[in-house]
Amino acid sequence: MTYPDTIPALTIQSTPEAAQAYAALTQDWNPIHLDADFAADTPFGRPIAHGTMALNLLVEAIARAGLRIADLDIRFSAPTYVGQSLTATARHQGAGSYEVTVLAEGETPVLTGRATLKARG
Amino acid sequence: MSDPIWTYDRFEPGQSFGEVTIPLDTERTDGWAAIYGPPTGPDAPDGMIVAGMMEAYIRAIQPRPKGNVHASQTLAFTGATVPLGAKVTYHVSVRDKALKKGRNWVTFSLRAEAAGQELMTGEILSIWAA
Repeated sequence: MTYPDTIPALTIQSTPEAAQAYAALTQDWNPIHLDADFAADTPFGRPIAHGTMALNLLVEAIARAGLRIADLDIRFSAPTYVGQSLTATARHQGAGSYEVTVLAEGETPVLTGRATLKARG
Repeated sequence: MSDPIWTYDRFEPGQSFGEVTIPLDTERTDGWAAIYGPPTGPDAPDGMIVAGMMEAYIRAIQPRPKGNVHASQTLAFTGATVPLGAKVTYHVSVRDKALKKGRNWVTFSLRAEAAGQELMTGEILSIWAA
């Protein structure tokens, strides 16, 4: 098959409403994501988005490109603060292997790694 | 008397936390749609399987200390699909643990299946807080 050079960028806003929705989705009601007063007493100082909100943005961007993840290996390289935008991208390195990235506010990598992609279906 | 908190010392490679079954129900589908947009077909988006993995991981290992850090993640999808409304069963276990530079690193293995078909496997690498 022919692999696209890049996976089209997909962006969401990690608003407080999105944090609530993600908590409902994962049943992860950790107050560090939802409660500004609680988060103020943590090293982050303010609420941070669930880490896998960024991962699932990448998963969704790949699916929308008609591909699926055969394997993926990523690390969460920085926190995303609630209110920041998240943008997922992937760049083809050859033979279906992609460098994958999610940026906060279009500039700070919060997720980096690689994935091998295959056609869906 | 409540169960003791799961600490690093209590984890052992190969240890199983059993199964957690997650319904891909309306609440979870609505949560997905509110963030990523509505699913475009009858099958669950791959990301809902990942979200279910996180829920299973959290539910399987309780109570847990505050401040664990999700450091990295692997995933592999088989290509099998599951319809919205179905139930997905996750198998949760400890693959490995290591003490490095004073930090407690624990790798958890998760395997998702529905109707007898494997959907996805993944490993969560956590820095365990206690």
